[in-house]
Amino acid sequence: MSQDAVLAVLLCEDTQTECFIRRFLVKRNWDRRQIRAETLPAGKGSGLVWVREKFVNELKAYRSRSARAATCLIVASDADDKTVEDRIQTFKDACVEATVAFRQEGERVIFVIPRRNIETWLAYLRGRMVNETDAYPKYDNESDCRDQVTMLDDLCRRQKLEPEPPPPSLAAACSEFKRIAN
Amino acid sequence: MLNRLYVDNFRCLVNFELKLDRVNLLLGANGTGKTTVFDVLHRLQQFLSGNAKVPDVFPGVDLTRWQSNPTQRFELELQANEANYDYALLIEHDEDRRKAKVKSEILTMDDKTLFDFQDGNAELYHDDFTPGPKYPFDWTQSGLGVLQPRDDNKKLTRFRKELQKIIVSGIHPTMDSESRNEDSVLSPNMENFVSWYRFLSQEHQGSMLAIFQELKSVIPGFNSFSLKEAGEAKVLKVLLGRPGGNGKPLAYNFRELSDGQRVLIALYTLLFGLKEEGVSLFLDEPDNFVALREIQPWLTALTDSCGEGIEQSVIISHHPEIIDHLALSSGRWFDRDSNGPTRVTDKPKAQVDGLKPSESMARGWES
Repeated sequence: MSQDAVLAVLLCEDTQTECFIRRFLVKRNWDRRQIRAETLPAGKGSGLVWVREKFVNELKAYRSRSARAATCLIVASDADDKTVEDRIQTFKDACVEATVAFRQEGERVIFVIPRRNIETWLAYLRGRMVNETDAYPKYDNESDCRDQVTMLDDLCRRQKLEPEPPPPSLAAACSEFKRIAN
Repeated sequence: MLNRLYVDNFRCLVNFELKLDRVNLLLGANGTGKTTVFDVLHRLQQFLSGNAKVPDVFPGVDLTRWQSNPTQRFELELQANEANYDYALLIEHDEDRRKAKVKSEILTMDDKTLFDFQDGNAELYHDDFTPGPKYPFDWTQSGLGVLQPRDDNKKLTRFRKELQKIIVSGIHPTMDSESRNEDSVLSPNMENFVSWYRFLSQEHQGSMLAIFQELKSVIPGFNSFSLKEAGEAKVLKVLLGRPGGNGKPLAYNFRELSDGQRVLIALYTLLFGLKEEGVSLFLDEPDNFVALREIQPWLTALTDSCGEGIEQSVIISHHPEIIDHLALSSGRWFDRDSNGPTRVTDKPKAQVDGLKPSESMARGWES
C-alpha cells in the first residue's frame, strides 16, 4: 500500500552523523519517508569497518534499484586521522575485493566524510574556527544539532561556507552533494 | 519531563528505580515489568486527577505477592522548565489487604515543600514557600488532586498539569468511529481516540493542517477528516481519494479502515496534534499492526520531535527496527530472575560483537 518508495539510502557509521544528514536532507525538501537510514547502533564496534562491509551490497542494491527509479546512496564515515581521499580509497578497495565496479560517472552515490568527525563540522557551524585534527565535544542529544543543520542550509542557499576557511572535508561533502541535487 | 520513577511493593516492582532521558526505549523479555511501569504512571495520573479513591487505584491485589510489607511507595521526579518537582506517595494497606489509605503524600519543588499530608493532616504552602493552612483531610484520596487552582498555588497546580501532559497509552485498533462527547484524556488503550480527536479538533485547530499533511504522505489518497452528526453522537469520517485519483474523495467510517491504517492515523495524530503543548509520549508497542515500511519514518519523526514540541518519549517495543535504532543509545533493559523483582539497567548484561542488538535479543545472548 505504500505509495512512495525510499529514494535515498543513508549508510552511516554513527547516529549523530545520521541525524545531521537526515535533518539536512529534510531541510533541503526531501521527504522523511524518502530516506532510509542504515546506521551502526551506538557503541557497536568500528564504524568504518561496518560501513565498508555494508557498502558493496548497498552499491549493488543501488544499481539494481536505480534502473527502476531515481535513487541515491549516501555513504557517511569519519576520516578520523586520515584524509578524505584515504577514506574514499577504502571504499574503492572494498569494491576491488568484491570485483564490483566503483562509483561510475553519473551514478548518484556520494561520500560524506567529515574530518576528524561530524563534531568538527558541528563546531564550525556554531561559528567556531576549527581544524580537522582536534576533537570537538559531542552533543548529549543527537537532535541538538538542529541549529547547525539550519546554518548549513542557510550557507548552501548563499552558496558560501562562512566563516572562511571552512573545514576542507565539509567543502568536499558539499561538492559531493551536487551529484544528487534534485 | 519525567526524570525518575521509584516504585516499591507494586506487583513485580520492588525497590525499583527507573531514570529516564529525553528519548527512551524500554526493552526486555515478556513479563519483566515494562508495561507495569506504564500502569503505575497511569494510576498516579488518575489518583492525582482528584477523581479517584485509593482502593480503586491501588487495590491490595497489586501488592507484591511474595512480600508481607503492607505499604507501597511511589515517587516521581518531574522537571518543568527550570523547576524540579519531587512527589512521594505512601499507601498503607490493612492486614487483609481489603482497605487502603494514604499514609503520606508530599510534593516539593527545588527541595522546598509545597504540600505535605501525613496521617490525616494536610499542610499547604504558598508559591513563595511560606506555610499556608493546615487542615484534616480524607485518607482515601489525593489531597493534592482535589486542590482548586488559585493565584497563590500556581507552582503546585503546575505539577499536576505537567503530569497530565504525559500521554500513557498502548495503541490498539479497537477504536470505534463514534463518539458521544469530547475527551481531553486518551484512555490507556486509546478506545476513546475519536472523542479525543474531537477535543483536539476544537482545542488545537492549528495542528490539524500538520496532521493532514503528514497523513497525506502516509495513507495513500488521504484527504482529510470530518466529523458527521449521527443522532447524539459524532462519527469520524476519513476522506480518501477514489481509485485513479479523479473526482470527489469518498468518505469512510474510521472503523472501515484497516487496523494498521487506524494505528498509523493515531500515531501521527499523537505526534503532530499536540506539538505545541510540550507533551510526553509513553507508548506501549506503537509498532503493533504497522507495516515495516512505516516504522523508521515514524520513529525518526518522533525522535526528531523530542525537544521540539514533544518533551519526552518512552517507548516499549520488541520490534527489531526500533531495537536496533534505539537500544544501545537509549535503552532501559528490564530483567527478572525467577519471577523475582524487576531490575533495570541502561546496558544489556552482555554485548555480542558482530550482531545487531535485536539479533542478540532474539538469541537470548544479551542476558
